[in-house]
Amino acid sequence: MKSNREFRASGYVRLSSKIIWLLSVLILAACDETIDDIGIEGIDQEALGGRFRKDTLFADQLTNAVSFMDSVPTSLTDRLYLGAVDGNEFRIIFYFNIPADAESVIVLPNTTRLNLTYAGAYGGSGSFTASVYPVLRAWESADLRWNRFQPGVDYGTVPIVQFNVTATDSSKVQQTIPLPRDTVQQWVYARTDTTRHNYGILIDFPANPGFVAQFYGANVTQAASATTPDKAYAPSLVFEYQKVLKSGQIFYDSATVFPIVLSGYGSYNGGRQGYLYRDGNPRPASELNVGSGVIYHTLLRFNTNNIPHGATISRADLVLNIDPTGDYRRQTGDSISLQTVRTATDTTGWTPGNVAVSGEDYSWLTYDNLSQRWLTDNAADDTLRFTITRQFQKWVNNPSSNYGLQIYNARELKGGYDRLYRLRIYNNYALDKYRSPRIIIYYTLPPED
Amino acid sequence: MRLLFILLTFLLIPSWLTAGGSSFSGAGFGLMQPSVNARSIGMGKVLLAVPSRNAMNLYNPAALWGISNFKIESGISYEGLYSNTARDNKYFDNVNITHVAFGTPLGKRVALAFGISRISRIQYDFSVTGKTFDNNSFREQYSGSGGLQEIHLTTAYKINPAWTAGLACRYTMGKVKRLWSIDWDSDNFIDTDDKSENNIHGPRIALGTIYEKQPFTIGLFFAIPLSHDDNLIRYGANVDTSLQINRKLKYPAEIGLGGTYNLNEDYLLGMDVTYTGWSHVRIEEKNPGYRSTMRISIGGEKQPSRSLSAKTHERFLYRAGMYMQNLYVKNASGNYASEYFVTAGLGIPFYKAMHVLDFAVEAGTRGSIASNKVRDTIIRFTLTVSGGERWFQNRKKR
Repeated sequence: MKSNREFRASGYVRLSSKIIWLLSVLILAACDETIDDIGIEGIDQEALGGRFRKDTLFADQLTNAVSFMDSVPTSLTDRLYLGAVDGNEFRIIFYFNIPADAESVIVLPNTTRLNLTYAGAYGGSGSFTASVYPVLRAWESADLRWNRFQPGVDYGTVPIVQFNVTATDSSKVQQTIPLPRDTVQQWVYARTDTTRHNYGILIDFPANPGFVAQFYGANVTQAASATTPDKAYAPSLVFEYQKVLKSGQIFYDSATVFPIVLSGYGSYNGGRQGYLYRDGNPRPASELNVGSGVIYHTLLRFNTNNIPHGATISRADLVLNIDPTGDYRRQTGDSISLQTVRTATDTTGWTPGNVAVSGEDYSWLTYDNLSQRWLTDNAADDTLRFTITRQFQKWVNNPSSNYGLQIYNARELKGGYDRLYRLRIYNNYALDKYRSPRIIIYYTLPPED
Repeated sequence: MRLLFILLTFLLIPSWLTAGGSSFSGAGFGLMQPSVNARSIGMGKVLLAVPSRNAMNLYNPAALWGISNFKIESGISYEGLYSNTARDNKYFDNVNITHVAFGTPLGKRVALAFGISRISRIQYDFSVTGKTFDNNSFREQYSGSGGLQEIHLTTAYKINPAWTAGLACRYTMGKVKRLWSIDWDSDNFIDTDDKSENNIHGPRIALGTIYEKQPFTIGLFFAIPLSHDDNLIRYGANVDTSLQINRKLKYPAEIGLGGTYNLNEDYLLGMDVTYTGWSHVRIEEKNPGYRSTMRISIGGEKQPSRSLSAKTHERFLYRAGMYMQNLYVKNASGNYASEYFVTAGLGIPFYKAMHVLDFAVEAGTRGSIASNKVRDTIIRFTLTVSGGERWFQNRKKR
């Protein structure tokens, strides 16, 4: 039988032992480990480290290499082209969205006009008579392809007006083309009357015009960073009208419509613009061309299966060489900024006139500002090196997403006045695989277990 | 209060089961350091023929027999490590929980224990600079963490006064994370960040027996190799999960033979030899190139005085020993390495010897600069707390 003192003593001992245990646990839990580097000698690099590899995909790994013209709708252009030279043909198309203020108004005679401002011309000299036709169907920017507008089907065969176009290098000269009052009145009525239509106009050139005239487009801005069009030079529809107010009073006003859509603050919907173009002297698909003045793209699609899945691409460079013997109208001093762009849709069936490109992943290729290269002259052996690391990583991760890359003129739509010419990329693996397109890849492979 | 105490212990365990700093922990499953109590460590890891007493001996399941009441036991260790290479010396340290276990005698012939313990650990973090790819500079980093733990249910059965048999059902589990990264100096290169994660788990069965015929005790231990699962996930910062596979791993068999000799009432001497068949390990039928290992332990223990007039220090247990073991994997040199340790220990029983605090210190080396390019010099302190309770005992015995 234990006394009360013995019970208390045994309780203290038990309690003390538990406190000691708990304290030791808690104190040591608060200790932190320290790890420092000691150098590479201590570890098994082969077992724990991966591998560094360098590989090159030569042109024999190209599963698709082709040039084509019409991969980009031209609605974003800041220049419009009209005429033809060396088989390169251009038409202009507009759609003007009549503003709500002009709903149900009476368009006044002799006030309806289309303003175009010259930006330049190339080719021959002289002048030609351009014809303005009504467009007969609705269209979107994606429709801006030559073969999608056929006379008698997509636009009228009888011109509503004709005007004279002069080959001039004097820019900023405005030409006013009077439009029939009835045409504009129909567009006004079409706002409320579904039996009438406003599909816009198409401007065509006659046979053998001898030159291409260049006009400012609706995207022309005073500064490169500006977003609103420079109204002084942008094409516009102008008309005056009278409107009967509810009070019975007759109100006179005018409207100026720019064929452009602006979003965000100060959003504006004035319609659409663009040009249609056709290469009357297309190059063989085996040639890889990039255009200036015309939208000529090169598509390159390499088979990346040689690079193991799981590799980390440290760097991938697409190396191209310009072939001066294949240039067209390219002169010494002609500069061009070449840009690589990821292609987001299946390119297997790409043919001129049936090409759609998504720009959703352009940022992948502009990541390090090395996906764009500036070519300043036409000297031989121009070697261009484009960094396409992140895009290549995507292909390795997911080979089915590899639709290839396009090489295009970065200023093809907003480049100001660019002469019409093409340059050719060398592509002959059998003769010289090092001058033909190739991708140099630096990559690492993960450790093997 | 007791329940809260136990729960608290369990909750704290997982975060402590990582630590380290030896480069030798990089390969394979890391450094194999099956956790044993500080009593065994103090005796140079002589444990196969040493029955439990105040502290539980769980390595050989038959050695569990000997506990006199319900035991709660936990161990912690502090390790200081000098890693020496031909050009550099660095100091690491870490703290680990070694094990937590609960054990109780059931009747006159059976003892039962349950617990969790650490059996291997991986912890390394090294980096080096270099140049490649047209002379571009980079910094390469290797790091790893994790290790294996084991949950066990151990039982010992006293067949007769001389023979004891034991059976342990063990479940090995653990996660090993590794990173290999390349940090390029140039912004024009994309960094590599390859990670892998192994989740390893599988059962083991351990059988053991102890034969006692004073002054000798012989212990035999055998762990049966069973198939383990090794789920490997490999992924990188710039790539999707690039690999995920489930592999079969054949864990090694282990056999040990040990013996002790009671020199007199005060001194116990012992020796163990343990063989682990790492060379037979296969991962998806492939030979990873491990070698079989041997641990040889020699040690002794001075028993406490039973005299009622004994001084405090005479009531303590004193231990000393040494052990050597070779490692199953090669290090960066392409050569295998071995460990050599001397040990010492102190046991402090209190409250009528129901509880005991066991301290152990190990000092030793691992590898050599000449053979392995790196040598670890280690000092490790281990504290095991074994608390006794009179649960599950009838009142008469109390």
